[in-house]
Amino acid sequence: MMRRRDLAGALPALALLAASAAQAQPANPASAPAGLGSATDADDFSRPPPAGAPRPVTVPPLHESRLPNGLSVVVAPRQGLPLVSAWLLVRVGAETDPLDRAGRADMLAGLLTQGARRQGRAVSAPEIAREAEAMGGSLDAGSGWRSTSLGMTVTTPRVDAALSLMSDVLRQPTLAADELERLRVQAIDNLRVSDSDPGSIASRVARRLYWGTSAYGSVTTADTLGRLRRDDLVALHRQGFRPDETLLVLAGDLTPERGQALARQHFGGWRASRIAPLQRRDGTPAPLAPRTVLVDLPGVGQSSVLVLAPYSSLAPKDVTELRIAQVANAVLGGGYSARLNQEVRIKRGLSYGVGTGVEQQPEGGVWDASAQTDHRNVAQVAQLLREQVLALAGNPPTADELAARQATLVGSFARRLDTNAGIASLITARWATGRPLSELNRFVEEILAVTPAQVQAFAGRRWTEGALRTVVVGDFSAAPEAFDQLAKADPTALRLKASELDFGSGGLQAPKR
Amino acid sequence: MKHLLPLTRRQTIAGLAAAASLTWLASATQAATAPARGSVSLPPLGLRQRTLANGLQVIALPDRSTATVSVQVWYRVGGKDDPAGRSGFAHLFEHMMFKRTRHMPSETFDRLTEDVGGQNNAFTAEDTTAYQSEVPSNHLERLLWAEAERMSNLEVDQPSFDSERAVVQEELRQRVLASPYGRLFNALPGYAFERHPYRRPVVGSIEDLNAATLDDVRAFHSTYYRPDNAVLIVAGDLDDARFDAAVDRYFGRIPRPATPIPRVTVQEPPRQADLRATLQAPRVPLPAVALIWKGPAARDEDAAALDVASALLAGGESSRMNQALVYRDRVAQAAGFQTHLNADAGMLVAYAIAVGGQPAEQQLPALEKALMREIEALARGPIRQAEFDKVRTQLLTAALMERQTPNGRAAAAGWAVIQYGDARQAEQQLQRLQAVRAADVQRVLRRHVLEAHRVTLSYVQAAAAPDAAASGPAAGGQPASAAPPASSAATSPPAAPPATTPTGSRP
Repeated sequence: MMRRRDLAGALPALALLAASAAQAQPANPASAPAGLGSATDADDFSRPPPAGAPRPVTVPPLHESRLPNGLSVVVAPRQGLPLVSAWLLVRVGAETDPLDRAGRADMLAGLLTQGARRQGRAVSAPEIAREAEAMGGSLDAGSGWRSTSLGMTVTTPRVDAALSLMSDVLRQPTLAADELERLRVQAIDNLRVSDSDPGSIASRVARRLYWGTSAYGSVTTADTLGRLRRDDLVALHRQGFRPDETLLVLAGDLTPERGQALARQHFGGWRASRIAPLQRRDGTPAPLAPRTVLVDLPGVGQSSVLVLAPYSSLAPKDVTELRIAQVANAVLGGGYSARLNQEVRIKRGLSYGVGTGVEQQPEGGVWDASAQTDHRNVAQVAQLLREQVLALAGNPPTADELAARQATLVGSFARRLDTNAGIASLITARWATGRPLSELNRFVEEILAVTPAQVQAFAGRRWTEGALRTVVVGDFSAAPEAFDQLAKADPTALRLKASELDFGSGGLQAPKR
Repeated sequence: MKHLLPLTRRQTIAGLAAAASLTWLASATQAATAPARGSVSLPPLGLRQRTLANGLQVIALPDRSTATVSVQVWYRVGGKDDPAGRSGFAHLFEHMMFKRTRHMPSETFDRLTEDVGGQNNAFTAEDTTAYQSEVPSNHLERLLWAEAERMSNLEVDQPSFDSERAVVQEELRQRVLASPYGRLFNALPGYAFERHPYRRPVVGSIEDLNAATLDDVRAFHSTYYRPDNAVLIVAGDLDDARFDAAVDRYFGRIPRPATPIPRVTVQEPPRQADLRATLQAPRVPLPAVALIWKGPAARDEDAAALDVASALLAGGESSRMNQALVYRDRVAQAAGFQTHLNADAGMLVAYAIAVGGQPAEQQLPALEKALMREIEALARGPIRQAEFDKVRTQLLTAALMERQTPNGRAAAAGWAVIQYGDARQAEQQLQRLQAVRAADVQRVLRRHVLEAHRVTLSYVQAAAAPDAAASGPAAGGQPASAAPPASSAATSPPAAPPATTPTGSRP
């Protein structure tokens, strides 16, 4: 099945989107889009009819509490289908990985479900998979920079059993050496596959290029995976997995009282930890010297072009800056008709689509735009992406453009309220970044308060020529002129073969002997 | 919704295996009513249907608990209806439906959806092309107007046709040529079907897309985009009386053409002999093997049992193939079993991607044996009740999850119309799945797999190192002879070979 466009990456990363206040609406939602008035006469079929009166968006109330051992609980009752999404989040993520053991937190997350103690006896990975899938869902474990998560969606009668399994897997995983070995081999095989994917290579190069050797510049490789020992994972679990750093979210078909009772039943007996909490490595961006990196991947069917720019950090004190940044990102990449896709896809047919993403960390942030394109187009696509980022400082959004992009942000948030998993993700994202849940109630008004001048000032301050970085991964031999053009345009450009990439040294290549 | 081509995405640990389980879960998109066991039942969709005088079928699925409404138009035209020498055309045409009409500038759908907090998309499959918008419910009538407008007044111009054709070609490169296993999955229908136009991948080929003209676009619109070939499905926050009046106002005016709608009537014959083939590609990170059988049509009485068989074999981490090949024996990075059943005919595919570090000629025969061993064991050995209960619960939960959104509810009705000719079948599909017994699973596996001929397709790295050929990069995988490597007896290549790039050569 072919889609008009892939949904992944089509919208800005919503990790920091917050649930909105009830009643919040985009500005003047009944207004007709520019250039397309509304018909006032019932027999006029040349224009659309006017929009009706909006129905307020109702957000479910969120019930927050804490158990005596410090575990946070949020229950989000949602009427309708007999389904509940249960999520556990622990504040342990890849930001604590040593540089030479990148992938440690990810490996721990993967191992959680591969064996645990249940009711006093050891259960194997296949038994856990069988038990979880017999409940109808799958037990999904994952990790990010700041958190490790476990999640399941089950029908209402199975919530109790699901939480019993999740509690044991989270608190008492076996972390067996042979399971580590199995996962390590699988992860290394996955890297082999990723090493043929131009987009995956581009994003790994971009990470190192922007963050350098700071906590957020770590790149998982076969070498870093090879260094992981069982003791590393046991220590990480013992130090980081503790009730005062854990959140339980229950969203869907249950009452707040039932949610609290389930939390007490399954997590009340978890003893508070006296060990000092984990230390995060410093995360200050330390960009490498090249402003352009070109990677040759012979035989690949298309090139990946990626442009990086600084972005706002995770700034809990100044939420206004955060909202301005989100709107600026939306003006460039927030939707199909936003500026980047307009120039690259709609006007010129150069790509199936441009996606933008943001990453925000305590000490800094980074924004990226990426597109895949025919090798022959790489110089043109890179130039278009860079031009559009730099142009925002001199060409702020018009009132209509701004209103449309704000509506896109508000609408994509509102749709997340249609699913239990969507509500749960809004809650867990706030908690993982240490921001208050109450922020959810102001999100929409804060987004709608952003002005064109604020977006322009943000771009002028951050999105300057010297701050941009460009990464292109493709087949040099298929379009030598296009790659030469990129290299000649930047005296700092680095050209290398994919087979020469080496993240172990702290740069992109092994040091020359 | 059945993906043949996995979308390009970042690989995570177990990411490949996850892709393997998407297909069978997707086959649970239509569902209904109470499971045999367990205390949860699927609430009825509550659909209302009528047909306008001009033949337009209208389905409403009201739900006042949301402030959103999903507006979908499903046309009975898909990849199988691509004109001769124009593979990929139905999909290219789908992109053109977002361009100019008599009363709308190009991309007006973005103005009416994205710009007011909604979203729009569309997809083309073998049997259907579906347009899906989701908007705050006070914008419902504006969307009805716009869908009626593009059904009747599309006005495509050469510049937007040229630019959108280039977009579709980049989409093909992204899905097929740049994705590590894109060429393999794209080649499957060409080996599965011998006569039916399903042999041509929906995404088409660069050459056929280049051959398409503006006249083709106009002819396709007037042939297939008409009220008696469309189903309007609206789910979510709607008022019955107002909705009906708006549908009459905007769609009732569209005339029904007097000409008949062309239909594909090709019958796919049973396969007469086994076939082995090798697909070489310029970048194959880990070799893979696919075993391909013909399958029945979606509405065949064996379809539900095949879906259950697929779930038992490959649905999730605890499935038989994953447990045996990936977990226990560690011979595969991922293994799967797909039932891809279309309206006229289907295909069944068992596949495995090897683990790293060993030569393909040793690994692939072992993977082939291992896949067959698991299928044989399911077809001839005991099946525990607990395994059946697990699959039933998985199918019910997946159906419930899909029905959380207006888009999901409308899509369930849409697939039922396309595959069964009746939206109400969305309510019976899960009942059929729940009614499947062990004997049914074993009977359909024997009939369609063990006692049928198959194509065995090896996917391997091209012998020549992917390097600077003067003519640019290697094109799509070249069907080549196989087994034994020294043999010069080439297998007949499929009629729809993978796309090639004619010139010089994200997460």
